[in-house]
Amino acid sequence: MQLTFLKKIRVVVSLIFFIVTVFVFVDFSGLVSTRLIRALLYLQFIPSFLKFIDTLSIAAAGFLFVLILTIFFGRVYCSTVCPLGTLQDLFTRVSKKFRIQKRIKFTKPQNWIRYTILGVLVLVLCFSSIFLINLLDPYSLTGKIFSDLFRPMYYLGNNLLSRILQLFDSYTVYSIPIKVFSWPTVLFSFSFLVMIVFLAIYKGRWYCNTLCPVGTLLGFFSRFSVFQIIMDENACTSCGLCAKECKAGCIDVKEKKVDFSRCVACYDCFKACPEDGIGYRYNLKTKGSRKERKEKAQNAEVFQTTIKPSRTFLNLSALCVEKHKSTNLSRRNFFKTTILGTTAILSAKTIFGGNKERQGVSVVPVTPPGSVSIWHYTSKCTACHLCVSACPTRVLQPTLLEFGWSGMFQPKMDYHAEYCNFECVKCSEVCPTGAILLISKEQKSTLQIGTSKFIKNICIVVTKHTACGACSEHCPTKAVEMVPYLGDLMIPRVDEKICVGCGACEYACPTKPEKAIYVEANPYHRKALKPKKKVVDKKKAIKPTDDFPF
Amino acid sequence: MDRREFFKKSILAGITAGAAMTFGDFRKVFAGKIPPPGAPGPFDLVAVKDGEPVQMFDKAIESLGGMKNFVKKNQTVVVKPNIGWDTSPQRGANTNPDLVKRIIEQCYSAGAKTVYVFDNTCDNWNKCYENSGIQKAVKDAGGKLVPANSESNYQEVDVKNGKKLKKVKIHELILSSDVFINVPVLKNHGSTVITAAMKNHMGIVWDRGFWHRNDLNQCIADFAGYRKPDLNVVDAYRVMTKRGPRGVSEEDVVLMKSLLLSKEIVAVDAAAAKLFGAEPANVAYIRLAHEAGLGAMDLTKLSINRIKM
Repeated sequence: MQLTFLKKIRVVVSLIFFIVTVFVFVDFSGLVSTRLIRALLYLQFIPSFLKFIDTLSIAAAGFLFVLILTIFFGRVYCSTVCPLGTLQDLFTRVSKKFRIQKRIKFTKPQNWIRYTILGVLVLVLCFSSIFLINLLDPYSLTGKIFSDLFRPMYYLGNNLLSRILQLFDSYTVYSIPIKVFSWPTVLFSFSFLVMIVFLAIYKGRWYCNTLCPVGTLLGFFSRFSVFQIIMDENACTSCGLCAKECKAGCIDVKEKKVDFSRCVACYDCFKACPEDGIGYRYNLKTKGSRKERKEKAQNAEVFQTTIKPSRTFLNLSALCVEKHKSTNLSRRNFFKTTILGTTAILSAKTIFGGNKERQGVSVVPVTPPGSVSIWHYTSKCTACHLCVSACPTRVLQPTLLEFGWSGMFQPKMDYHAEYCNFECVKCSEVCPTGAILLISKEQKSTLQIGTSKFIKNICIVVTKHTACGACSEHCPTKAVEMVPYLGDLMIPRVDEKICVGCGACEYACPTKPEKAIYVEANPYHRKALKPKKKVVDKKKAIKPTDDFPF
Repeated sequence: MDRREFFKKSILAGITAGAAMTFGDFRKVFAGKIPPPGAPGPFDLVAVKDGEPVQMFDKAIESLGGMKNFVKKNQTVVVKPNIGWDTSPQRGANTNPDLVKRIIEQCYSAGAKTVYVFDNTCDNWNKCYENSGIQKAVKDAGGKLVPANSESNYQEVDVKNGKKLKKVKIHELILSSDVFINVPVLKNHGSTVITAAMKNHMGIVWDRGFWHRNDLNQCIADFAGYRKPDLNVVDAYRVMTKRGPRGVSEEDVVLMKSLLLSKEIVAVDAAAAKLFGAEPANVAYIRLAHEAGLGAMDLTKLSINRIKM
């Protein structure tokens, strides 16, 4: 049966997924609607999985579809949905054009590396840590490459265009100042990109079949796929043309066997074979061998047990935040488990020059509205940096080790770069992993992610005896209010109860080098009170007069 | 002089261009085009009450001899409203969009070549422009809304006689446009009592932090001596009387239905203070500007046209 059309479909689908995904990561104009972004990222395996174990909703069940697809046809995900897969294929193709690429030979699978990584990752995940996922998840790695490396370049190009158009008196393209340049993430993404280009050219899909946890997991399932790519021993002439095309290096011509666990379902070999001797065949073995069926059942069990512990943890976390109900047992348990996490973060901070000792800096980083708590956030965020790309004000910026080793590159609210727009919930709308849960503008208006702390002794009003009030100006709830100080001078006063922690005051504060007002993170996000109605003495209240007062 | 021409000139003149374009020289260049203050009508200030923004502006500009007294044929105009905050027009934190629209229309009727509108906003500028209703207003009127979020569009100029503010980076459109119309909204301000015309200048400069660090009131007064707008239109239709300048809800707003118009920035701020129920002398930057001889805050010495609709 000729199935060469499958390759064409694969190429088209993968390019659509890739182009839109990449554009979402570099775009600043919000051209792609959040609905489309959500639909696009629905099938991304790890984000969907992480969101699912938290919400158990069909709205996050994309990874189940991927699994079902894998059970039937193998690792289709790796050659269509996965942006890193397509990125590698692009490099492979270009290098083939320029004849740089050497033939990727069949090698033995590096099973011990694959399963060790997967095992460690699952184990770590059971302890509700994201470690390794944020460094190895192919979607998040692609996100970092395009958000941290290509986005600034895209901005520069845009700004140049904007400047040129301005000379012709056109303001249709506006420039985007690049306020923060996060060197560690740029370096990391750059190194990874160089590595993946090298691997794609010389080793094909080596990353996917050795390091990638999604590749390993799907590869494991594809061993038992209903339909597998199998060589027809009678038709095969051992010409080796299929193996020459195989970028995964999984076709063993000598033995006339395909290691389907490493096959990324690119269908390049279908076309290569002049004898139609390679293609999808119904996998009789699965049905026949009892032993393997048993294995499959065991795997399913293993899989389920990996879900359970995490699920309990996250449900507890959701419970705890839900309206601050009276302390119950589960809540206390949760605190116990999370204390470990906090100590880890804090110890990491002390080792790697954390903020603990510095005046005017939050002890732990502020996490975005909707992220529930620092623990919820750090245990969910795969550091794909989609929120960093999507944030209209650019207050979300990547960190290196501020969230500890396990939370490398996770973004924080950087109030020196910008502040959080009061009416905006964009990050919560785009986050694919559930690290930032979807919230409404109404919910956000009373969501307290931190509180402002005023450091009086370095405030301009105190040090220079001149008027300022920049912090109070910017405050959307007037939690920072100007109250009489000396003579006509007014000085800020913070009402923490109505403060939402948006950081407008910190951003606006003009004191240098330290700010006289800053936001201290709420490790647990809380509910702020609604801004008070300001009662003004009726006699003093300003009213429109019947006549002109001059 | 269009923008391109301006760029050419500034390149030729090099660094000295900035200094040469200070207030005195700048006005001399256009001395033939813009009549000296006080010439078009007998009134120094027009105050209108109890009308809608559009009608009040039409009435007020008419009493100053019409827009043609301020905008000549083929001139470029920059209209600077307050678009500082990502809030709805009902909150009174930004200039009334209907008023902005009407001013642009009037400029075009007077023969203006291009009318630019911009503000260096506090909140995210995209959202401010859109949610203030000004983006639509400018589009409808055929004006050009210009983003002011890039430092590359600002040029450093010297502030002569500035006590605290000696040098400042201002938006190039202020330098390149023939006419500058300042359209602030009257509001409460937490530390300067009120904000109106003079304080609206903070939206044409790049580094506001410097002003806040170095005696805010003095800097505001200093800048008034650098470049006075050719016309000030103070929107006092919806007046935020408390929790300014951003406000928290519509409850901070009082419907005052007033409008002030004047060439004299100090006088118009003094009148605005009066409308707000404050003494001009108690608003530090008005007093400082008055003392520096940049204008009169004593309204009794001015000829004022008071119009009730």
